Amino acid sequence: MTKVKPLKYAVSFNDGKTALRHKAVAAIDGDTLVITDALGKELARWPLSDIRYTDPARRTPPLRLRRSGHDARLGLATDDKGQWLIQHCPNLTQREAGHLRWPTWVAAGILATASLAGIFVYLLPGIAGTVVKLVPPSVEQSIGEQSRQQLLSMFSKFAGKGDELVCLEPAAQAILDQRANELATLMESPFPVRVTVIRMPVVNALTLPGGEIVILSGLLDKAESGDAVIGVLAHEIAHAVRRDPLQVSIKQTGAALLLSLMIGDVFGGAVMSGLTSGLIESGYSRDAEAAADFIAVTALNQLGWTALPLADFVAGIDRENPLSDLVPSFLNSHPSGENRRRDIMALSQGVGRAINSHEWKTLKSMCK
Amino acid sequence: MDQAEPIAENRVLTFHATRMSFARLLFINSLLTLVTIGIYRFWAKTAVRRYFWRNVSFLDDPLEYTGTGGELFVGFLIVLAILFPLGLIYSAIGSVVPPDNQGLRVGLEIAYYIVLFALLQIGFYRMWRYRMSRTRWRGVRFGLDGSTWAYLKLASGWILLSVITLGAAYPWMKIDLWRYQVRHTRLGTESCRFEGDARALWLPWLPVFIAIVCTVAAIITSITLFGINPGASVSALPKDQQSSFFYMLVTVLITDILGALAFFYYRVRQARLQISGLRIGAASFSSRLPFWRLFVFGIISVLLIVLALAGPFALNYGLLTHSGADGTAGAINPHLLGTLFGSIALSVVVFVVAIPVVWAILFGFEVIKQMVITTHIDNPQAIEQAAQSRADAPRTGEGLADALDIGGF
Repeated sequence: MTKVKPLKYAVSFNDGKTALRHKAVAAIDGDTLVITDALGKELARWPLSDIRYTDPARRTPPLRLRRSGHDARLGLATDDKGQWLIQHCPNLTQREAGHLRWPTWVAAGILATASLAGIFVYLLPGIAGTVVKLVPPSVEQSIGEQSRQQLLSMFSKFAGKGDELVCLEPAAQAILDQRANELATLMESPFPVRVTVIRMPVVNALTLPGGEIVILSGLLDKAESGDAVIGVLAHEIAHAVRRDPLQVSIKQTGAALLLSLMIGDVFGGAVMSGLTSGLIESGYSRDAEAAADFIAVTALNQLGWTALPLADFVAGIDRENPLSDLVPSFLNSHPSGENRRRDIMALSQGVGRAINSHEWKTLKSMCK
Repeated sequence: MDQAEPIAENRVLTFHATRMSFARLLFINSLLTLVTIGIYRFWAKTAVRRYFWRNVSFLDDPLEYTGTGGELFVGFLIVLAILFPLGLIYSAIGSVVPPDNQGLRVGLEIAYYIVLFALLQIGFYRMWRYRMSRTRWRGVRFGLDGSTWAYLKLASGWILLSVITLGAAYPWMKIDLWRYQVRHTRLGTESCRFEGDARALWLPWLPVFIAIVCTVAAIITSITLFGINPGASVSALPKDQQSSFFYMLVTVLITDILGALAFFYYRVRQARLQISGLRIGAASFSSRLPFWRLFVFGIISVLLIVLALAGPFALNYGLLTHSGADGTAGAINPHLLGTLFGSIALSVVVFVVAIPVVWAILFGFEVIKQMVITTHIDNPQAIEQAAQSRADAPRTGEGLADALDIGGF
């Protein structure tokens, strides 16, 4: 048997014990690479299947190679760009054992996304619900006062020239306070309810923590009857009694914090906080809305007041909301106006008026 | 043994990266980061490090980065589990403290910054430890000894002194912390040393210090004369006092701009000193990091970024004012809604992709390049004597540094 003398190539060798560079000669012997020094002394034997690029992203000369699991390195500066060796090494781009393969990462990614969704949809509301029970009503009240001040100072920047932001019309305010107190007492509110009407041409009412209710004057302009306004008021008081605003604000704080930590700084804090707050701020859950409707209509029934104007009002608002057509109802936090109208009408038993036409006139003009 | 012939200067420390290849890498990175709403950033960072490490060669052999994106991701998850409850506690306390209790508010703010400062120091030292443990040269691993707590204690003492002295101690703080960091950095078993003196930095620091003193003096004067909220009370003042207030404001503004420029010069000088004091065994470093070149690159980058920002800003502003023409809120012209959303999305892309990429390609790249090519090493062969160390390396990546966004890349 004649043995062909293997071709030898000049390489630089680092033994992994020191940072010295050894001029060496490498030759392929069967399935091993034999590395010898200039005098012919054997420095190392590397199985060809164990040879890897030190950096798989760099495959152009000068090539740097390593032996899997070892500290030793090999430099190929010359000789046919190392093609003689590359052809014989099957696993050059393989990662270290212990590194995860891409299917594992994809699976982990899907799992992580699912658990994140779980955190946002179930865990955070759950935690928020528990925390709310631990907060004494007096603390919630002081939080509410604080957020009312913040809200008023924020809105005062948008207020028209020379107009006061808060509509201070004692007669109208007395009507609202009287109805609000009656409703709150009936619903066993843990704190007194305060109603503030502000000058803003937007059809909306907000409930802050601690029984702070803010009605925007657009609502008074839009409403066709005083009973609709009192209906909306009852709905908002029901949210306050259920302590929904506090739960939502705890939920949002947690979600915003988690998101900003997750996304890191690549998105630039300012841009992202704006976008995320918009995403998260979908407000109350559908269940919370339905429950608030139920409590509100029950209270109105007990007082003998009709809830039908409220039903018409929510349906009317929904029809004018341009987003209601775009956002599928399961994503939209408010139950659709038509559904709410149906439910409210089914529950409503009262036939009396919450407010007479004279009082309604006073109320309607309170911001004029 | 093998190092008979003298080593030519152009083989000691070489830089092979090109702006073109770096731009390609950054483009792919930011695209993937955008698509994965940020999660890819761990792998993006790893790719950038691998890129720079492999493109810096010492004695003909490149540095090698062996860290992985997965390690960074796991490190980040661990830190998330610590920072999330901390953040929740902070916002819980913040929402209970009444707004009119100034003392408690200020106390809470101070506590927040103290915790943040401590986390930054811890994060920085751990980041350096991780990076060193994942860096090899000729197969020999770098490493960082020393303790994070000792570093935190040292940094806390220095920051206190710097605040008390209105920043006069700042160069000494920087250099002393750098000394601690370098002294505990090693290549294999070969420890590094730092032989530099912060006294070399007092003159470059002087203009910055003067700017700080002027600003603090102006703030104190303004508070004593006009109270906490000067805007309201200034308009109530007689005309001549008003104009003297605005003179003071303009003077402070000019001083601060000059101070910022001086700070840039100081930073270059500090980097020069930090490199020039480095010793590994008998090998010693020196640096000629150029100020003007980096300054020009910095100014051009800033100008380009301002231009990149101005376009989308003008577009958004125009669309918003146009759509709200009748002056009523909530009456955005529905026909323009799509255009507005598109324009906002474009702004986000500009903000997220274009600005960091322009900054990194123009300025960041130049800084790294100049740091490498203007560094000279005497006795480079001494470093070849380094022997592999068996010391343990951290298993997960620098989560804290990522969460606090320190370290650049």
